[in-house]
Amino acid sequence: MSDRKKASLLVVVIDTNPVWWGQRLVDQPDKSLTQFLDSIMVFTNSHLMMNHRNKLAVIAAHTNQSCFLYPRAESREAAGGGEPGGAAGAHDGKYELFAQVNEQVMEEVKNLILTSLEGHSETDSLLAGALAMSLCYIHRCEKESFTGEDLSSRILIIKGSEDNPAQYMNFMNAVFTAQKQNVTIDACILDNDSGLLQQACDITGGVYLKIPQPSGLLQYLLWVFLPDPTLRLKLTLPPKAQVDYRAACFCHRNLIDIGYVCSVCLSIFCSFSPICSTCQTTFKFMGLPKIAKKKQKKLNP
Amino acid sequence: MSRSSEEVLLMVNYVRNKKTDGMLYMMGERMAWMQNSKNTFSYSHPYADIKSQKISPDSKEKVQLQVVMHNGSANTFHFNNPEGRSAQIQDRDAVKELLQQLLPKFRHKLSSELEEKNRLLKENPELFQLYKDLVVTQVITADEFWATQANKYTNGGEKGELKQQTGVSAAFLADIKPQTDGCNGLKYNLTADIIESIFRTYPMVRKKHAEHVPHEMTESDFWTRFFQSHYFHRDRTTLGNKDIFSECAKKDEEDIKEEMDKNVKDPFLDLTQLTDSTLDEGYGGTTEDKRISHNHTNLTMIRRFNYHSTMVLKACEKNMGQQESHKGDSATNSSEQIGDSPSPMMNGEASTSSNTEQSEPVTKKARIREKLELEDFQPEEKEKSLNLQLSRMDRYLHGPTPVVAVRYTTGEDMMQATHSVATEISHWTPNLTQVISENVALSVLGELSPGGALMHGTSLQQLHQMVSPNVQEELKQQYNALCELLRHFWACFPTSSKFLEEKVVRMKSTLERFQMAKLNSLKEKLEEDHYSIDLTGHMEEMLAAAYRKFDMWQSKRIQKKS
Amino acid sequence: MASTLSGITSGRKIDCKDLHSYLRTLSASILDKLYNHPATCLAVFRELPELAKHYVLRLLFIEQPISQSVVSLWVDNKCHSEHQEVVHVLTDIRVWQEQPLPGGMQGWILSPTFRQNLKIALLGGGHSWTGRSHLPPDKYAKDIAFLDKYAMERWECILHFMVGSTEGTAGVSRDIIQVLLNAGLMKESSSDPLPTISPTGFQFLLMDTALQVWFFMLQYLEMAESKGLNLVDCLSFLFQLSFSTLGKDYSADGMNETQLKFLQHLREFGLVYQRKRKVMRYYPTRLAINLASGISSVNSTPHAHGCIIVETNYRVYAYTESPLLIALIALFCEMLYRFPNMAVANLSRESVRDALARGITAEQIINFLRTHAHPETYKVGQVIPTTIMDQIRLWELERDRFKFTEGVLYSQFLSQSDFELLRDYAQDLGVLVWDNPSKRVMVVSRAGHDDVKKFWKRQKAGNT
Repeated sequence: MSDRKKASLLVVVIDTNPVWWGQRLVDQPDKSLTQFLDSIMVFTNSHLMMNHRNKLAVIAAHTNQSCFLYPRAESREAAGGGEPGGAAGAHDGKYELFAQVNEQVMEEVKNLILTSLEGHSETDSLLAGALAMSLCYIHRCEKESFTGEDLSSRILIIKGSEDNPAQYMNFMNAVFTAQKQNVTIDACILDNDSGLLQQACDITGGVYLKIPQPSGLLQYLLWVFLPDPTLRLKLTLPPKAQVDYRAACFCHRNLIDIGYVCSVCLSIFCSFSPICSTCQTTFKFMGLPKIAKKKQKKLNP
Repeated sequence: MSRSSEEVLLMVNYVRNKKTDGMLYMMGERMAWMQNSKNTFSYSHPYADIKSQKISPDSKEKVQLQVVMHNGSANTFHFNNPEGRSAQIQDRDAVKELLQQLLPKFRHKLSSELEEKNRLLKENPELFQLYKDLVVTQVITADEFWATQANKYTNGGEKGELKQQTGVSAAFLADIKPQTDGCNGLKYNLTADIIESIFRTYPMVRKKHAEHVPHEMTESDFWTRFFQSHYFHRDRTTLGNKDIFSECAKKDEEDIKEEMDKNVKDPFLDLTQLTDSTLDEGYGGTTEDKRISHNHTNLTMIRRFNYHSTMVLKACEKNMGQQESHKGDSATNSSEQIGDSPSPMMNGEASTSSNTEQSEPVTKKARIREKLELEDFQPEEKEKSLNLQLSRMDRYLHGPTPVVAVRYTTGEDMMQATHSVATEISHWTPNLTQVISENVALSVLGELSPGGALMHGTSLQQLHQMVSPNVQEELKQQYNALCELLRHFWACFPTSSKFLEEKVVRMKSTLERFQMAKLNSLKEKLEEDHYSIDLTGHMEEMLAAAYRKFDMWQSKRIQKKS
Repeated sequence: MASTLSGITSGRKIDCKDLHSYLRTLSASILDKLYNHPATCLAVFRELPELAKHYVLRLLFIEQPISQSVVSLWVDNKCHSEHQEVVHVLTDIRVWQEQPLPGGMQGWILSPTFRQNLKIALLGGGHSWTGRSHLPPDKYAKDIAFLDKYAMERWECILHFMVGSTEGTAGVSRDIIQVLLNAGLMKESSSDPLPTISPTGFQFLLMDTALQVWFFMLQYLEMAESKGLNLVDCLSFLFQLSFSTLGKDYSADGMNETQLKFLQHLREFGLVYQRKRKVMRYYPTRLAINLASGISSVNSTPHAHGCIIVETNYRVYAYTESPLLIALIALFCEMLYRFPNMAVANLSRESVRDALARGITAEQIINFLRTHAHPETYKVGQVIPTTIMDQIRLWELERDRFKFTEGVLYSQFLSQSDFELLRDYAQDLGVLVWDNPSKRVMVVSRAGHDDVKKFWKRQKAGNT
């Protein structure tokens, strides 16, 4: 009985990087952004179908901005149109709420992609921003929810493009915030493994999955990411992968197992240098050479 | 003669035991008695087993010596040298003297050590297991085992919380409550504890005890005299000469003087100016304490009390000193101490006192400074802080992502890609009914079902369920033993001494023996049980690492030599 | 006396089925017909256990049977019993069916109609739920506040009628009275022209609104079937209503005779708003939409507009003007004061015992207090003081001092040894209820009677 009382808020963060999707369109024309969006729509519908208290938000992490696809910002709502929920989708037998969500997501995606055509594009997406937005939204929902109600929240990141190392700090801050707020972060990876997301999932206790068949995206989503964390304990799901927590050296950006850390500024280097290149501290070594000398002296006479 | 190689220290003929004549042998580690007609020992008592010896009083007709064992049994030897009573007594005294010398040695060394080891093994099932694994199977010798392994237990035991020796209660003499026996006499019940306390507090008494008991008087005689003596009646003023304890008293007097000389030498503390006043300073005038006692007896009494307290305190100090210098042997040591040879404890004290003399000015200065300098008046020292100057802060902000070969994209490519997505999106209407084909859904289901491609490693069985508890237990034991050996091995590095070098070689062969004797048999056993998992792999790896290190070390050594 | 009363209450405990128990009572053919509408599929899906929902979704896109052993491996070993339960539920209401695999193993496959219609609800691609697709804007459009007010008025009308107050009960039709009588919520008496409330009725009054509606609708449907209304049509329309959007108007065009008739009844209960009988346009109200939540949670959710505060000194404060609510509180409390916007009552042993005597259970009282609790009390954490809850339960237990066991009396033993022999035998079997050695009588439970009798006969035969 108690599990029914629980509402679940799911925030889906979609990577809509046009460059990455465009390149994929050239390589494999059958796996397009639109198909991928279709799958996500069905997935969001399924989430809402699980329980009438379940809530949903969809955020797009674009190349130069992150924005809500659903629910629509109130200012835009007023401008967007009087009637909530489009008239068109409601009449093919779909549940009205689903139709309305899908309609809105579609409009917003079109809006986003077509308006951002002019701006300059990058190969990576603003994931940290989108993550922060979702955390804020979750926080707001938790505050607004009725005192007796129990809201459990999680974030699902669906990502194709590469990690942006420049966002590292922001991203990790967001991840640790999520950990403090008891928000689980799941990641569904379409292409290259992402070290950052692996860490994020590991820290917050979410599932990280790189899917082998992008065309079967929906089935993966339903299977692995739809159950909420409490139910996951009961199901047999793919095992957790070993997460690479190695640090990268400051000099060559290589991942290293053992390195040299400056005792003053904590910079990491893969090889020893007598002067720290970050804070210019000079290191003098007294210990070892002296002992060696002493030994020699003793041996000589 | 099973152990004839043992050195025979003394042979006494005409010794009767249980009404049969025979010969008494005093050997290095035991005393034995052989019936005349036979050629094997009828009795053999290791000294370690003997608790004490008793001799018959001179007044008695028979000249006898009784040895009492730790387990309570006793054996009596009757000396009946045909040459007469004086010869008999001579024989007996020879044995007695020898025993007197030997017993303490064994008592404190052997027995305690063995008992200690036994106790350790009993208290520590894991250690016992290790002992069984390593010593009983002769992988290493018992001595080695105890020398290294047990060291930490025994040391830990002595230094640790368990083994703190209890001090002597200051009231121990007062606690001996005499009981009237009805006919105008007093009966003192002395326990071994009390006797030990007396010995510890008054070393002189111990010496006297050793001198006079048992050949001049019996134990109880001695103690009766002790209590009777003026020594115990503390208000005596003159010292008689006739008593055996008068010597003690003299010695005590000396000690008291010495103690008084060693007075508190703190230059900041004047004990003579100390007065008891119940009033705080400034509240009325203090009256001079004029109750100086003129009663000489009282003074002596007070002196005795003070001396008693000093001795009690010293008894504790002594213990600590002994522990540091020597284990066991307290009897001989402390009895000698009073005599001519300086005891280790005295040594220690002397050196510390000289140290204190040297360091006195320094500490004095420090204390003066402490009194003079007030922190509040110190000028505040501001530490000059170095500002951390970081160049290239962006390095911190960079994520731990390796530099991978980014797909080279030109601006044009990007534009093209963006536009193709835009055109696709603009023509898009969601077609959810065709969102996934059945075939794809089915193959994904296959991947995600247990045993599928993505579910690799989610074995439904846990390792601890697969391995039987017996095997688990055995593995644990082997690990324990091996780790212990390896610890020995690695502890030898760096090989700074000859001894360690030898030990490394020895340990290496021990390891090999272990692998042959234990590990391989375990491996075979596991194979018989059809375990698919490699349970011994890690142990083998650890061994291999040790061998590698050894080989490296050896080749280096050979190089050095050549 | 206490014993007879407790017997009655335990027998008449109101039996409110949830959706599943209701569906289980329906025949297979009706179930299959029901699944022909996406709305019912959606409603049924939502009421499934959590694990079952995931099973259904995992199988939704797969059109061939999946081996039962594979399905059982989807859950962890520890939750095997839960899995069994879920399998049982899904089979019971015919969401999935057993079908042999080519290899001879048994597999599960989703019922085709259920799958298809759930897919339509989820993905679209079917027909519109309502008949005509488009409605011109309503010039008499109503806002949500109006609809809420209207619905509550209508519903409270029925409740008022039940408690016998005269406030606005004029609109209660014969049909409603019929349903109430049928459900046993009210009973007709010869002296009064109007029916009076029954013990079950009191229990009904204390239920949550959404639950009341659901219970009422179940009773109505039972009756409707006997009246010749098509159950499937009614049910699917009801579910369709519960999934519609509040404040939106829907067209009644294209509805068949049964549904139109049903719509008129719903209008009467306050589940839909229709301006005029002839206008083919209706607005579902919150009562209808909350049906979807009401059926699931017997342990219902707290009201956002609760108004009751219970203190540890047995005082009950209700910040309300609603005469109905105050009447309900008066069922188990002693009313003390009325103020313009609040009422003060006292929980006493007498008042609660009166309520218990009427057939209301302690659990219902507590539940009522909890669901109507003031939002402030949630902030404290303790909605109802524990002492109060315990005391109410204790008052109920006070009445349950007798325990009834059916049994057979054995008496008139000829000798003490015979008695002891038989008594020991019965005791060994564990069927002895009571014995009195001095009077040589014993009572054996009904189940053990046969054994004991046989034993006794054998014993007698052996002796003679």
